[in-house]
Amino acid sequence: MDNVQESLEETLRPWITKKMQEYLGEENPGMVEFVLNKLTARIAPQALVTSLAAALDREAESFVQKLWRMVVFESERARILASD
Amino acid sequence: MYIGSVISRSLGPAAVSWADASTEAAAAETARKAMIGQAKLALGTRPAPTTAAPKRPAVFGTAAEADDDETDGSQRKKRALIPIEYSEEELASVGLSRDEILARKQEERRRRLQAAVDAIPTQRDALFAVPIHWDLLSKVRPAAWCISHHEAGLPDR
Repeated sequence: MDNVQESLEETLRPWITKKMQEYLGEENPGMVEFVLNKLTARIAPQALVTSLAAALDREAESFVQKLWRMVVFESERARILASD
Repeated sequence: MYIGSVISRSLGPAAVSWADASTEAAAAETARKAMIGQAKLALGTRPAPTTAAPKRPAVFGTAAEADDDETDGSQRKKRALIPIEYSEEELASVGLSRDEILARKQEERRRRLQAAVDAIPTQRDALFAVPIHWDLLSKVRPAAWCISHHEAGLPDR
C-alpha cells in the first residue's frame, strides 16, 4: 500500500499541488495529502469526486477526470513494464 | 503331298483366319490401349483443372480467410495490428550492437505505451471504468524511458 503512494506520489504530487493551488487560490498541502491518501486506499474515481465536492465544488469532477487519466496512464505503464 | 496339301488347305484358311484373328486381336488390343490411353489422358488432363481449382483455395486458406471476413472481422483487425517483436538474441544475431538493441527495446516500449495511451478513454464513464493495476503500480518507479504526460496528450502538470 505504501508503495502505491510512493510511486504515484512522485508522478502525481506536483500536478495535484498545482491544481489545488489553481482551484483554491493558494497552496493547500492538506488537500494534496488527502487526495494522495485516497489513491493509496485505491479509491474509485466516482467516490473521489464525491469526497472532493465539498472542497472543490463543481471543479471536483474535472479535477478527478484529469487525475484519472494520469492514474490510468501510470497503471498502463506499470502493466507494460511488468510484461517485459 | 496330298496330305500335305490337305493339311495346307485345311490349315491354310485356318492359319489365315488365325493370323487374322491374331491381327484382329492385336488391333483390338492396340485400340483398347489407345482408348485406355485416351481415357487416362482424359483422367490426367481434363479433371485435373476442375478438381485442382476448387482444391487450391482450401489448401491455401482462402476459404478460411473468407470465413474470417464474414464472422470474425474484429479479430482480423487485431491480428493486423500486432507488430513483430524481436528478442535480444535475434537482434544480436543480425549484428546489432548492445546500444542499438537497447535503443530498439526502448523504442518498442515507447510505442506500446503510446498505443496504451491512445486507448485510454476520453469519455468520463469509460475512463472511470478502466481497471487500475494497483498491485503493479506499487512496484513501478518512474523510469527514464517514460514518455512525458505532455507527449501522451495528458493534462499538463
